[in-house]
Amino acid sequence: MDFTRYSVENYFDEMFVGSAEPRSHYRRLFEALQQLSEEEYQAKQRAVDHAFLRQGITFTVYHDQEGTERIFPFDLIPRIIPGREWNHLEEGLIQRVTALNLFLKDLYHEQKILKDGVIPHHVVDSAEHFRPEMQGVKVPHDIYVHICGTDLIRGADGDYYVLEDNARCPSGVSYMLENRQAIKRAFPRLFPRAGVAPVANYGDELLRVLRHIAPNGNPDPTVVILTPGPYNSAYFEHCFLARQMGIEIVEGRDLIVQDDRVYMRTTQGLQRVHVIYRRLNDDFIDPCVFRRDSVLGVPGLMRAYQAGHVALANAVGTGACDDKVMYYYVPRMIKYYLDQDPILHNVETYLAGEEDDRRFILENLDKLVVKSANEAGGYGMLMGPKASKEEIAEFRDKIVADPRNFIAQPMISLSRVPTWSREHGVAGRHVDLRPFVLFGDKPRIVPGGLTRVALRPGSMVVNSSQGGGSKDTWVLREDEGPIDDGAATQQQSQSL
Amino acid sequence: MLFEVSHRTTYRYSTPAFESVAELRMAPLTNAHQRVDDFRLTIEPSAPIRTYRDFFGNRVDYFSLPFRHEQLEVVARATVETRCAPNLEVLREVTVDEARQIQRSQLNDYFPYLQRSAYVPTALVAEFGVPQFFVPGGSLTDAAWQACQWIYDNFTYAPGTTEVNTPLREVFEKKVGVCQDYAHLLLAICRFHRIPCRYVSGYIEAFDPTVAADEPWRGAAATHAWVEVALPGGVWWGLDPTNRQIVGERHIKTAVGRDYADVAPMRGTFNGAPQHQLDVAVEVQRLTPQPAQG
Repeated sequence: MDFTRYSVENYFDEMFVGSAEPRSHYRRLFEALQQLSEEEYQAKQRAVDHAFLRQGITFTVYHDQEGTERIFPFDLIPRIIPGREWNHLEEGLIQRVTALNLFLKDLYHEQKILKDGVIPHHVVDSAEHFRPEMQGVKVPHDIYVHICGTDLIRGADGDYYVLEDNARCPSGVSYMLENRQAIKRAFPRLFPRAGVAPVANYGDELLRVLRHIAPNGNPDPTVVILTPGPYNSAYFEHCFLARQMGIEIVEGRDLIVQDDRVYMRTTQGLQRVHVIYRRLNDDFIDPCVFRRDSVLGVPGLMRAYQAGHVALANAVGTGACDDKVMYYYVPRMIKYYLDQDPILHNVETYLAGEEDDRRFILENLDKLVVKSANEAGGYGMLMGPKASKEEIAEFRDKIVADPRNFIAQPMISLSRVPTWSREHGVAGRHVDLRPFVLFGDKPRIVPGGLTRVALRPGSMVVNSSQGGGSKDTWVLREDEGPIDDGAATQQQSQSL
Repeated sequence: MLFEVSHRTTYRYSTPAFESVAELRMAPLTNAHQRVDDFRLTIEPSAPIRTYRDFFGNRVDYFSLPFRHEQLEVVARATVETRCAPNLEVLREVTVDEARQIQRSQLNDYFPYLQRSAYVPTALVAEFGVPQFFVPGGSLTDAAWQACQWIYDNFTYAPGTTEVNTPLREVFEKKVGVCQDYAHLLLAICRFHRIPCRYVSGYIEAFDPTVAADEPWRGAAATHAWVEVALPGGVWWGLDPTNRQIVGERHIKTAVGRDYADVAPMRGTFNGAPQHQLDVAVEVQRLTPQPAQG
């Protein structure tokens, strides 16, 4: 492949310093890629694309008139994270999710953090996903967020920032696992020698978390995954995880509640269910309590849950900690509950609900990124510097009408990784990173994550629903330093 | 005043239903203004009934019927004694801004009752040019009463014109509604002006038997709905915009919440054909108190 015309421009490039010099942890891959002709590379890319299509590794786009199911575009050039850097991220993520769990426990019981004035009361109560129904409910081991997908970005300075926490039903982990399979097939000789930490144990770790939260410490619980069904954008992932863990995948209609206990219909009759990994939002989970028009949920489930006869992962009500306004307060939570300084920093954030911030936002709409507090997937968002006058005017009205629902952040130039396309060859494209934190008997993070890449030139929106793709994420084992021996590299790259 | 209330809900299904699950908020509350002497709940076909108390302090009875049934009948009977509304003469002096200030210091208690919701879209109050009742120096109770009056005068009570999910926008546009809509209107107006208030579900006595040729109160054929406005000192003051009344002895309270969604008397699901016939009959009968023995 030809990198001679590659330019890092003014961005932080994950692979290169300046335009020709690869970073040390990328050197081996760089040299291997250089040995590869354009045709060979394309052949590998085609093989991977076909494999994804055949296996049905797809996602669903909402609000789209055309065929809604698409394959998730995958780019072969991985994002590589050196071991030391990963250790820092891991430490920061565990700190963050630990604080979120302590916050949720406090929020649904004593509310000390509110009484002490660290977080204003109105922020919580007006949060759309705050669930009064959870007040005073004890959840197993006081864990609320069992699976957290925290989105990280890297700015022009090369520092990592937390962009948002996804503490409800984060998706994407199946792509992390499938991408790894694909890359192993594409680079069968390079990969085993690259010193990449494995991610394949994610399913085992997840199952361990789910078994850990079984009611009354049941040593042999029945665990199921609850899916909204085939029309959900992440249905592929639900099936995938059920297979990985060897557990049943169920829809709401497959479950029934009797005497505050949950049962699954099987061909042998009803079978008691103890733990539900639910991939269904709170709103839909129980039509007797939340949205009454939900046909996806299980009537009576909330009573069984409140009575402690079934465990849910994630807990109900976690949405109170991951909305974009609450995000602003996470560093304070870390300080309050752990008495530590945040290891990973937030992006500077302005709350439209606060008068001074609102004035600043309205005056600088053309420079800021404005986000709606409760929307995900890149919907309901304004990219000030790239927006038209009409779009800006429209957002101004929205903010004035409902300030609590909006936050703004400065435009961050996301870091880039070389990415191949037919039209542009190899060029820098912006990426983010979503590692998956598992919180059971102790927090664990499988070394890796989903690297999403904005495939459109110049675009910084990485969401799959908005034209994003993904890359494999390599975390190098710490003891595997870069190999400086030119001869060894040479030999390996020939047998890529 | 002593009342016997009977609330009968009957579902007749076109084909047998199964797996009915429901939550009931039908038990009258016991508080300073009413006392429940007796509450009996029967379900036909019969099923075990469990009970819990929800976030708002309402008693919730719930059950599930896994087997097939052609009809479901829920009968709630209660004997309730009500007392007249407290004398609020002293609170008439409290101004709107004083009340706001006092309540701001107790946000924990009032916050849920200040929020907009799908049923209470406060922004419509400005959009439809509702007069400004709550002026900072004016009396809070007077303002709330004027809002209640305004709704009564500007909307037409017409059973059957709206259903439980009719958006408030439509009510504002067509200027018709039932008690649920009237209550949501008053909630929207008060909350738009940052006055905490809550939705009340319950029953009323249509005719006062002691007054000849009394004009019947609206909303007695089924469950009724009204509003309670928070006054300083932890007082919830009941206003019934559908009847332009201050809530008193002839109102029997079953549940409170932020809006209708929190207090629906019966809420649940069943499996089966969607066609079914629903009948609700509510009777409120005034009893003559028996003189105490001895």
